[in-house]
Amino acid sequence: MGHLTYPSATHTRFAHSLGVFKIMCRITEYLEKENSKLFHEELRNDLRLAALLHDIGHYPYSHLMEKVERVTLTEDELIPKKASKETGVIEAFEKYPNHEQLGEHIILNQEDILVAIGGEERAMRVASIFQRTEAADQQVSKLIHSSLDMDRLDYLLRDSRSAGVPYGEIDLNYLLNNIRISKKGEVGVTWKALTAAEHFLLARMSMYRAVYYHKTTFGFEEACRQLLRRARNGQKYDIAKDGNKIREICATSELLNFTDEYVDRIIRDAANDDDPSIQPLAKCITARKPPKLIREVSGMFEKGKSDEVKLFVQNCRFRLLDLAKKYKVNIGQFLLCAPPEIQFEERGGTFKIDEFKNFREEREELIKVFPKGSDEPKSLVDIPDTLISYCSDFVFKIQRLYLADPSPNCEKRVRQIRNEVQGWGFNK
Amino acid sequence: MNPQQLLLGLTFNELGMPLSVESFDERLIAQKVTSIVQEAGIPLGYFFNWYVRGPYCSSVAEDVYAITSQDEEEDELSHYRLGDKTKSMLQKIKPLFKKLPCDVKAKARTLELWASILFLQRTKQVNVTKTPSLQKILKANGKHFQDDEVEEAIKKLRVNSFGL
Repeated sequence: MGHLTYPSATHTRFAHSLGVFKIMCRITEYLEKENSKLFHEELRNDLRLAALLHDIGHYPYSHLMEKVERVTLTEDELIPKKASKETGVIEAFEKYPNHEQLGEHIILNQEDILVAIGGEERAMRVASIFQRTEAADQQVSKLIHSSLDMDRLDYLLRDSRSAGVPYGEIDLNYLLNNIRISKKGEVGVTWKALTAAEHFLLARMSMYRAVYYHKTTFGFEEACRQLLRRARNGQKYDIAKDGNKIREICATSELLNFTDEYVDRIIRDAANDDDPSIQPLAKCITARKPPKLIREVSGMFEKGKSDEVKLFVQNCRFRLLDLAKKYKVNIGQFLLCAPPEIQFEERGGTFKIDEFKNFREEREELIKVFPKGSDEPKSLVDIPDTLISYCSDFVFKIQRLYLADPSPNCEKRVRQIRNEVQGWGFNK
Repeated sequence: MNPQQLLLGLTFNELGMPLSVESFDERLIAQKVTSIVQEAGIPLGYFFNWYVRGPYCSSVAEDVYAITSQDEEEDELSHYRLGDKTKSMLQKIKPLFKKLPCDVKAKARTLELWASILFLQRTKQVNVTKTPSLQKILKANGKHFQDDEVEEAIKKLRVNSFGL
């Protein structure tokens, strides 16, 4: 929904896929020259196909529909169970598969694609590359999924140019020209590309802050995500009820209708819904009236030390219901949400830097640089005096509370609610 | 906690396996148990990739941190219970986890092997009836298990209805 904030950001996933394909072609040509034993022709072609098809399993509006479950606080949680003395029942059910799983499902079940790829065996090989389930060849996996992977190289530049912001302007050609592979098969960039690699990580952080997590875009997205989740829970508008239905859609000709229009139709229908926890969300989107940001608690936090954010969420959990009653809004109009944490390196990662030194889990995610005179690359976080080495133990967290209120005279109410929540959590 | 985190927390409670993020091995245990539960056909909603230590999912890591950082006073999990269907599915695999060693390191190692075998089997990268081919992949990924450990793991998983 970035186009609602940046009107020129209307580029397509198809163009992005072609971009990733092109980058992969350049890299594999080079690597094949360097290490022809590892990069034989069949692997090269599999890699190119994986690059071209890596996003084929994306949902309408991408991550928005895919991650419909991942909400910070559902409306049910706003009524404290202690007070209600009810016991909530949680049942495992087939959730929507992620886009990589769905991608595999599509290329194995859509006959024309399967034929174009060259049969089931090859389709499975290609899917295992973009799904990163291939255990046998770690090198291939690293190439596709390292922090410096083709996907990110393309989308940063493409999104930046389309949105009209300068923050994602990475030095793509210099990075590509300086990729090397070591004798042990480790992929990294040369020492002289250190600045370009560091700038790439900084650009990623800036793009997340300025574009992907922009308060208006994210407000629209959260309204849409909550709307879809509530519609699905209520079995309305013929929305896929679980992962099995999604798989069914993607294995048949219904896939052709599984586009953004699938969600647009739901939003249009929901704008006339009687449910006060659904209609205002839909109207915000159709009327292009973004949910109002009531309060944001954000900052760079040392991992595991984000008391401000926790306190803010706790306040919301225990006080939002009263606030909703006081200002006569439906509790479902409040949207408490947190975009995924951002880190300069290994975004959303789990292990502290000192642990990296002993354990390698996730380590292959890191960008590597060949230090001067060294045949093997080192992670950027292990190179002294790089900005990344200082920042890698910190995460950027955001917690936001919005009010989805499409009514014409909402400004006064929004101002009053903002004043009320000023003291929730505490800022630096 | 969101519904997915509640489900994960209740699942570990049901299996009688306390969640902890204190050490690397304990975090590894959380990862591998979650992976094994999903391989048993109980959909918790996580997607695992293959990393150096076998199947791994960063969302599991995030959720385990979220669950373990809850205030004890609040004890949100105690206000929820698992549905009967999920509970009965978990009961079926519970005996497997009772066979784990007590030592945390040994427990992590065993779970890593079990989770890796099930993942490789599902993704059709190995035929588990052939220990050498399984060993080849494990070794290529830096996992050095003895043949008898691998055979014992396959036997245990087979007995506990993992469809090997």
